[in-house]
Amino acid sequence: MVRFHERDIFRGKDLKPYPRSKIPKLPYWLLRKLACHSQPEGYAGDIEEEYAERARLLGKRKTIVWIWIHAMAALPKAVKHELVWEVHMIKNYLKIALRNIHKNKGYSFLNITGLALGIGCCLFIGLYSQFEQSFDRYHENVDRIYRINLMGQATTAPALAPAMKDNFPEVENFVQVYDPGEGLIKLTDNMSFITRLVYANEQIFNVFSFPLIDGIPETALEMPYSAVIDEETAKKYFGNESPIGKTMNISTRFGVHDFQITGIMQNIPVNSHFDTHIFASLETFKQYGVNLNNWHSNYMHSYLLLTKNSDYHAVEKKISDLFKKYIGKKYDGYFLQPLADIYLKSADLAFQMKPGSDKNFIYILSFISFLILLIGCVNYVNLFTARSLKRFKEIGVRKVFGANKSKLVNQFLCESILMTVAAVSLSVVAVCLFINPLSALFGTELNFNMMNIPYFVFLAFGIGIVAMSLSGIYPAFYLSTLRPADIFRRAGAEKPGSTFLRNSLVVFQFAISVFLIIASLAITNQVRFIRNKKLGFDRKHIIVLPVLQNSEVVHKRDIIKTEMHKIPGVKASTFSSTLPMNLDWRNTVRYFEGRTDDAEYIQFCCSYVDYDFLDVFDLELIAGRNFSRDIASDAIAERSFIINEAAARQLGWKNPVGKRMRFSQKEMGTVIGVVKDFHNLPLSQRIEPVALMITNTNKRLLSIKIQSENIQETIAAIEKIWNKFANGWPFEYTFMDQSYDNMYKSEIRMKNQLQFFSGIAIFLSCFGLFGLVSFIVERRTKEIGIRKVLGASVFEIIALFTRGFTKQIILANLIAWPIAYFFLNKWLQNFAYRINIGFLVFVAASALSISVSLITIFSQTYKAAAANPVKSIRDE
Amino acid sequence: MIELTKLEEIVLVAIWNLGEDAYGVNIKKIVHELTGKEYFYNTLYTTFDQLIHKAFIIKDFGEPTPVRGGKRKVFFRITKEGKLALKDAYERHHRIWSGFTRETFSEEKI
Repeated sequence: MVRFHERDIFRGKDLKPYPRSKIPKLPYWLLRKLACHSQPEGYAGDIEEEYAERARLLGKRKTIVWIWIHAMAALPKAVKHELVWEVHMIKNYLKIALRNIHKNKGYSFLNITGLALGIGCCLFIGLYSQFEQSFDRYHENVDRIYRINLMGQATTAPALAPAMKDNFPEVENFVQVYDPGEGLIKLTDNMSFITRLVYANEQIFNVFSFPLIDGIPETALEMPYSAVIDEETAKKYFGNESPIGKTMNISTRFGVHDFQITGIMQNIPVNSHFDTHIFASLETFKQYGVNLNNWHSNYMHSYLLLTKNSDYHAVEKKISDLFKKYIGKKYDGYFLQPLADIYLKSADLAFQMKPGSDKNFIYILSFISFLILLIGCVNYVNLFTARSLKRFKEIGVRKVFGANKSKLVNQFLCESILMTVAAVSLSVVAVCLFINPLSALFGTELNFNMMNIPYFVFLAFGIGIVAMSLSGIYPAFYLSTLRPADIFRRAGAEKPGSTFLRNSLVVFQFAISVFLIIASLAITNQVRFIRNKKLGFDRKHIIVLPVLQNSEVVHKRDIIKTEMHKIPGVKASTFSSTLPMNLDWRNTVRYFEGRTDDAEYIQFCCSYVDYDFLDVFDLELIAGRNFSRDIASDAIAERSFIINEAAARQLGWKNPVGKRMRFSQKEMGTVIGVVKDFHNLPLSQRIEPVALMITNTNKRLLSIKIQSENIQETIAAIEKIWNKFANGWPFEYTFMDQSYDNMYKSEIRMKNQLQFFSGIAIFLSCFGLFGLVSFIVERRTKEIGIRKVLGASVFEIIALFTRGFTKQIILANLIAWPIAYFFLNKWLQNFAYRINIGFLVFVAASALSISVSLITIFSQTYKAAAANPVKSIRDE
Repeated sequence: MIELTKLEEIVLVAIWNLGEDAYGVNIKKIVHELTGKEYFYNTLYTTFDQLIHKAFIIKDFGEPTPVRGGKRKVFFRITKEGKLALKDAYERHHRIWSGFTRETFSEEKI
């Protein structure tokens, strides 16, 4: 340790000053920053003096060590000091903030509700998108499982997957699933129920993660007529007994059979694209006589398990060659889809077990909910800065008493944190309470139990922080930069920049609202267009009943039809495989007259019908004749066809009647008639070639056209006949126009959502406007009084306030129009048949936004304008 | 009577002793001589604050000097109260230690 004895050394004025720049800056700065006493100048001077002294006596290096030790030693004390004061300050901030919130209950209410609505929307959409993206991700092999899709549909030929496993080393395993729709399970003579069931091959439990509670996963589905049921079904129908080894009588499209239960699996989670309670073995199919070595009928869901690190695009490319090898003709259009993408990226594919959703949809919804949050935050910023005029004095006094900028920022941030915390708690409660109705509106199966709690908490925090920074930071900095002198001098006047900002924020808010209103109006129009579109067939007053393959009903169909026709309300009835509105069962034309050898295979949408099909659906025959019971060849499978105009065009036939072609049968069939084009596919797709033909099999639906009067009685009569023949299958009918609406579920859903969001947006914007106007009116009460005294009328005063806002709202409309036009046009491109977005939609949206905001402004200004000026001028 | 802490007591003694020259660097040196310990300036200045608060010393600004980077010295002067407080401390020490001599601590006694 160095000791300083020679006192005169310290006092020596002749000492050369040690240049200050040589003191290391960092520790010096630290020392000065961390000092916690009231003599910074003397302190710093002393340090510099001793530093110079030591450097001279001991050398530079030791002195640098010395000053660093000094600096570090100051740290703990400084931290402690700072903390103690911070705690005191935070207590004070909170107290003042609470007082302010309490004092301005109206504004706080506006602010908190606005924020809560925005945060709530974001929270729910966050949960929704997380749920939608969680589909199928719980499978252990999720990265390696792919579904084979064919252009436009999720099913493929049954021979494809086994052939791929035999030929491609990358394919480790495959699963085939056949979805017959529903099955009827009969336990006893009196007890039966309808449930979902699919057929699957025995590999399903090896490839997918569907854990079995009981039974051996490897062999459960090996034998024909074996089935694995889920826990729910087991509990419901067997109670606590073990159902293993028991038999279940199941009727499906293929007939009625006894299945032996070989396993119980856990319930399939909601976020799975498999939608079934029962897996029946695919082996059963062979017993039905179905040929699985079929390369042409695409009805099988096929999944591949690829080996690790293999490239699925490469496998995909080889499929075409496989067709060449087996059927001598290349076949394009097959592609593989990763399991995790199935739910979100295949909304356009037909024949899915569970209707898919659309990833873009999630993005759009997230974006819209963020916009709503922005509107809420804008309200906060606007109200806060507008009201800040009232707080100028408070800020001034605080500054005079020594509050520095950061203390003021903290004060205002504290207020917005409190508001945000209140809003977040409110919205969390609201989302938990309303999650079920909201899920229904959004068409998702998300429910309270499916909520991922840690994610939800994280989300609430995240959104809270975003909302806080969006709403709190600007006002805090805006207010804290004011100078006390200005504040006292110009009390009541505003900083010039802030009005501009506020006005542009109002414009921004209303532009978003108008955009959403236009979007919801246009989509509503498109949905109305879809509903009212003339489709080329009749869909009113037609009831549709699902029919079992090989069931009593099919065998006795002629008797049933005769009986039905005896009912006075029944006009006509027909058995068919599909309805004309989604006639999407594609089949390839193997040969047709005029076909050249290298021509592409043409796909037809086929339907198996009977003699009355055209009558029931009112399809217009424009050439040739209808099927006739009198002509024997009409009754033979695929011997006679009725095609549509599109088919004739596609095949290049000018006069189609009498021309010959064939599908899967060996013999050629003849075209006997041509119907006018009708919309055989959803309106998002163009009309495709259609062939109608008669077979004895493939009767899936019984459609009955009834008269518009006495519907109830007619249906009761039909039910009586049904019960006579249906052998226990319940009478569950749908109206065709309802099923038609069901096809456009996602569009209708989108319409509802947009209406919901645009409602919230315009509501929130008016909320903000309301607060702003009421504040401005309050501030200008005296001005109103003086104007009235000088002779202004109530109307003139209202006009004075309205003018500025009207300009902003009109500007907002002008901004929103082109943006809305662009996006809507893009959306409408999804539909082959669509509306033109009329000018009227824009005008209507603008009229709506302007009138709603005018009402808001009027409600606030009228009271002030109509008040007696004596009161307002006298108030001091 | 306001009590003095050990450090306050030492600092007060140093300031009294230094008289006209009582400022940070000198005080630190005296304290160092008296106790053999090196105190940090931060600690000393906190003690000065306390002493000022208790009105035992007052501060006074000197002229800026180049060796201090152009900063003024802050001199401290002991007040009458300070001297009284020291007297009190001295008396107390006297009472506490009465009867003790150097002999008491000689080797054979310990």
